[in-house]
Amino acid sequence: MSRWISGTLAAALITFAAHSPAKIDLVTLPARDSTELTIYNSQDLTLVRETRNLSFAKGMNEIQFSWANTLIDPTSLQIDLKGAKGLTVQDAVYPAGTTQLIVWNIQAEEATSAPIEITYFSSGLSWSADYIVKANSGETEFELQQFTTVRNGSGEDFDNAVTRVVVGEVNLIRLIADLAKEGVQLEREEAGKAVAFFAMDAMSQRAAAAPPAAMAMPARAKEIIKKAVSEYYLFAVEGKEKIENGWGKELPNPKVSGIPFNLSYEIDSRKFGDQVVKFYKLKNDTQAKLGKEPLPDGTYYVYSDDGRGGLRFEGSTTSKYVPIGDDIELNLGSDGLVLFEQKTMKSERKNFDFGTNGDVNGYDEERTVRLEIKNSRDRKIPLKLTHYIDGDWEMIEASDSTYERVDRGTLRWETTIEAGETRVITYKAVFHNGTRVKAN
Amino acid sequence: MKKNSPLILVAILAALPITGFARTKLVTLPDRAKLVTSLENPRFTLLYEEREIPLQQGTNYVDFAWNGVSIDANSVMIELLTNPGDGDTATKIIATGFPPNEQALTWQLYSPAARTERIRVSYLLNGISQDTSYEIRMNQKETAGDFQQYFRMQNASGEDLDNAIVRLPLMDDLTRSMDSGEVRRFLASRVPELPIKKVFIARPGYDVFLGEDGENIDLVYEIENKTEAGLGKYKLPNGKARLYGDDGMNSSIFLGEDMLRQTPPKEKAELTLGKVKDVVLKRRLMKDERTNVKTNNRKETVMFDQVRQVRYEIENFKEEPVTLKINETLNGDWEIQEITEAGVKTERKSLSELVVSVDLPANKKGEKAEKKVVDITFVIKNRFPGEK
Repeated sequence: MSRWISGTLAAALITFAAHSPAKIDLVTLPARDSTELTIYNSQDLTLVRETRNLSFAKGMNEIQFSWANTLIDPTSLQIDLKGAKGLTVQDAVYPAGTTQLIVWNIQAEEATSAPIEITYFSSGLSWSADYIVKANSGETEFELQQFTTVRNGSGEDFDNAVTRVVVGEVNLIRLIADLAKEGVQLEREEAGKAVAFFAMDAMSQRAAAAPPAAMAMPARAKEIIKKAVSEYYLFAVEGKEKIENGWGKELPNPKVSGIPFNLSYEIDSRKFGDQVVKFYKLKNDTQAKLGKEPLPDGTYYVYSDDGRGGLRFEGSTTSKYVPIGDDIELNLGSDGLVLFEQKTMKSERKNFDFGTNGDVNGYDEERTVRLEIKNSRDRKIPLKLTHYIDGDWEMIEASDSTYERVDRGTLRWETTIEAGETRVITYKAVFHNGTRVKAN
Repeated sequence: MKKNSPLILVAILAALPITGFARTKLVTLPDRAKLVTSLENPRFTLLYEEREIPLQQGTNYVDFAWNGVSIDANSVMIELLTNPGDGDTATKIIATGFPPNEQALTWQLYSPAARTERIRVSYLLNGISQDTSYEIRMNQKETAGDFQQYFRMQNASGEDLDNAIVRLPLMDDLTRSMDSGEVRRFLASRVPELPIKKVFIARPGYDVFLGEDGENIDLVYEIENKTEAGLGKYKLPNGKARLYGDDGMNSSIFLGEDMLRQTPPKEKAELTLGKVKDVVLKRRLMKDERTNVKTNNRKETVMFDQVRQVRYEIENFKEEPVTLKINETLNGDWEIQEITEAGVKTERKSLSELVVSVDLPANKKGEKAEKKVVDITFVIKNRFPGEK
């Protein structure tokens, strides 16, 4: 398999006179000492930070960086000499006739060597979160395992990379993939404004200082270190990873067992049609043995113990980002064991408003509606029934008045249906028509 | 027969350095120790297979690849069965790699010792479909039937299932081999004497009166999914039901078929099998009048009450008593004003549905059938012009 070698860095050891910067591309090719990938999921954006140890000759040095066949945004390239004494970046040059090359001119007061840091944006890397949920057979508790999957389509192999992923929505004026295609179109000021940089924090320093990966093999799944930064959440994978171009890599988080949850059913014709939908509900809080960090948006694969030593697939569902303390609601679809039927039983017209010419200009209609829920499960179930009533209406009477009037056209009952119970709710409402209409 | 083996599991025994995802597909190909095809979710087929894989001390790579089958790669899951957990002696799943342009993934496992680990790999496999069908063989009196429920499973997945445990929601596990392309049918449950109620139902249109031609009367069998009847443990899924009748000559006849709609426990299923010929219903519109008519200044009708009388003339030519149900479709603010025949039951199912039940005595052999005439008068209040 062919591999693109990119991010090639060449340092010219020869010192030039300031007036004759003839460029010589050869000389040393220092390997990356460390690489850090900070991958966003809201945009096709990865901040790559790499360090290399470079030797400098006294005088002007050209540091050449090229990136053929990758998806690097050339306007984002930055070099940081990390405060090395006697070294100054004079300028950066995008040579004419080249599209994927930058040359930094660095003045050295004395011959020296120093670690430098190069940062840039790349597109083509992405990450996602997936979750495996395994409920017990009684559907009272589950085990949750979160997976972080990184996919590399950047064109570049990353070896020994500290991998961090960011949860949050970051604004970009231009897409990194477009900037990578266009070559050097100087918009670095805008690009610089667009992205929040994170200071090297304690956890990435720790990770960067970790021994080489082959020696630091943990005898366990790697810890995912999580940290809030501004309005974003940073998940850093312990140690270093090799992520080759074209590969995806899924890293498991530690499992959390014995998470209590509420089994619940919902009826809502506008959301679910005529189905009664089953949910697993809980909060992202300490009571649920969670709540240490938000849960990124992702796909949940939900299984339950089938009572026969195996698993039953309950369904898969996607969930939005869940902040700490917020609700987690896993929609598992209909299991066919709870049924709902809605019928209009009676309709009476009355209170006619005859105009001066004897026409019917308005009237009221009293409508009796029957809502029936049948629970054929062998356990009681919490139920949320959302019911919509259109038009200009007023409630006359209801057999169960514990409903909440969510808005002028929405009623909601939250109740519990016993095992095997058939619950009937009836109500009578009056609807105003024509000149009898009272509302706008 | 040549067996398809599109699923390949390879354990790489040599401990590789962590950074090396170069995969050498050599070494052992462990046999499946157990294969379960779970059809408990009617929309998805979950397969899980257990295998014993040899692990060396340190890092091991296990390849799972497929070709010619459709697997939801995101659903592939590995579980460690021999040494699970977080302790020092447990085997650990470190990472999963997804190689480019391949239907495969690679698990990176760490084992603190050279040993054999039993693993369970589960995944959602496309191409295995299922349906349910029913056969009911009625007794001669048509009061009960031998109820048989079948699962039919079609394997178009591309994968041969050798000695697979088939897990269905209604029955004990079955062990079957099933080649790709095969369809198999399993008897899932049986109730030798399921009580069955035979009913006759007419469903006339609101404004369609067939008069002398007689209304269509459906032959309907009702079964209840309840424990007293021998069912009631699970819902009955949608499926075609075929009914056979005992012809009294040590043989049977086909009575008809219908789709049995999903029926949860304690619910009733109706199977409409054909048309009834030995009960005749003639339905006539005897009266359709307006009363309490209100007009405007231009003498135009603006509102009225509707009085509507429907007549049923019913004859039972059978030598047994039957109950005929007539499902009337109605609309508006209606009420029954009068029923001329005592013993006729009515049930308002909703604003638009009224069920009229009429008991009919048995016809005496050789005698003329007794004709029962029932008049029902409805009043529909406050109708507007154009409504009828």
